[in-house]
Amino acid sequence: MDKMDNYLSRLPDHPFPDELPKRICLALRERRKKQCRIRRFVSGLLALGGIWMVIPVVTEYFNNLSLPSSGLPWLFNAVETLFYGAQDGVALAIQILFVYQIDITAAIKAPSVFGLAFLSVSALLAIDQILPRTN
Amino acid sequence: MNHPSPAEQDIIRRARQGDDKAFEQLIMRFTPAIFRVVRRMTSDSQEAEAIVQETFLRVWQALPRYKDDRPFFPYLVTIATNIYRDQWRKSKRLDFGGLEPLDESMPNKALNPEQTTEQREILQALADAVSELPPPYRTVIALRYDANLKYQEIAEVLDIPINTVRTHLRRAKMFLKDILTQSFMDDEGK
Repeated sequence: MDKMDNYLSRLPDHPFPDELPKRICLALRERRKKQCRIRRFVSGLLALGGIWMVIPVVTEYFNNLSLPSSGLPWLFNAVETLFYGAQDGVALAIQILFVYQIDITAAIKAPSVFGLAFLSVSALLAIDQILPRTN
Repeated sequence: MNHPSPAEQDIIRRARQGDDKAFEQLIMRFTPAIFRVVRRMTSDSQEAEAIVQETFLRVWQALPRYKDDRPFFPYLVTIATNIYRDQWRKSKRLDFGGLEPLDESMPNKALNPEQTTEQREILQALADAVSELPPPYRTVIALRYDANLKYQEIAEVLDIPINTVRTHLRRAKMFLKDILTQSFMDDEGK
């Protein structure tokens, strides 16, 4: 280490603004608040978009829902069958599930898939806000 | 390059996990040191304060990706230096690799004969002379003597070959030596 090195390592410091760390903390809090606001806005927007896309499809699905036999007689028959014949009941239940599956598959359209995706992302953002981040 | 103490590592770990209080502790702890380095690079205090603030805001965004095996202070210095370089690039093209040797046209700061001790005079004159250096030279001086980084670390921070770092430092010191010699000779001649 030569003399110049020695001098350069001992250069006088410029005056340190004592309030600087506090100002940085305040700026950071502001930045956090801003990000929270943006996240809430995006989450809300996605939720609204999701609902907007899903509601018509769900409404349409329930309007067009066709059960194996319509009305209460079907329900009574099903209950009766379940009570009086276990084998027949299982067969009927499987049949009902298949009919429902076909109806659901037909009812799911692209907008509803996007809508569900939007709702999921919105829910995740909301959960991320609620859950504590520290261990 | 000093590794953080276990207590510091704990604060950094908590800050990485999103503990805002822990990050504010890091701000309180490292601001004076990082300000010292940045202030040496910049021409005025306000610019230095803005760079230090932006440094911490960027670190806060990037902290989840920060790796524990990397010492924290040089990490801060790297981000601060990049911000400083970006600002310079906005106003003027700054090339850390291709500087020519300094010539006689560099401004010369006269020493104040009223200073109480000779050493204080020398150090103050040297600090003034450093502030007159072109930014790339000032930056390597700040990184070497204020941040206490090794040549290899300076090369990594500035993304230049280690030999260029050596050249910049040698030229900067030659220039500073010339100024000091000339100033004190002028002083004695009076």
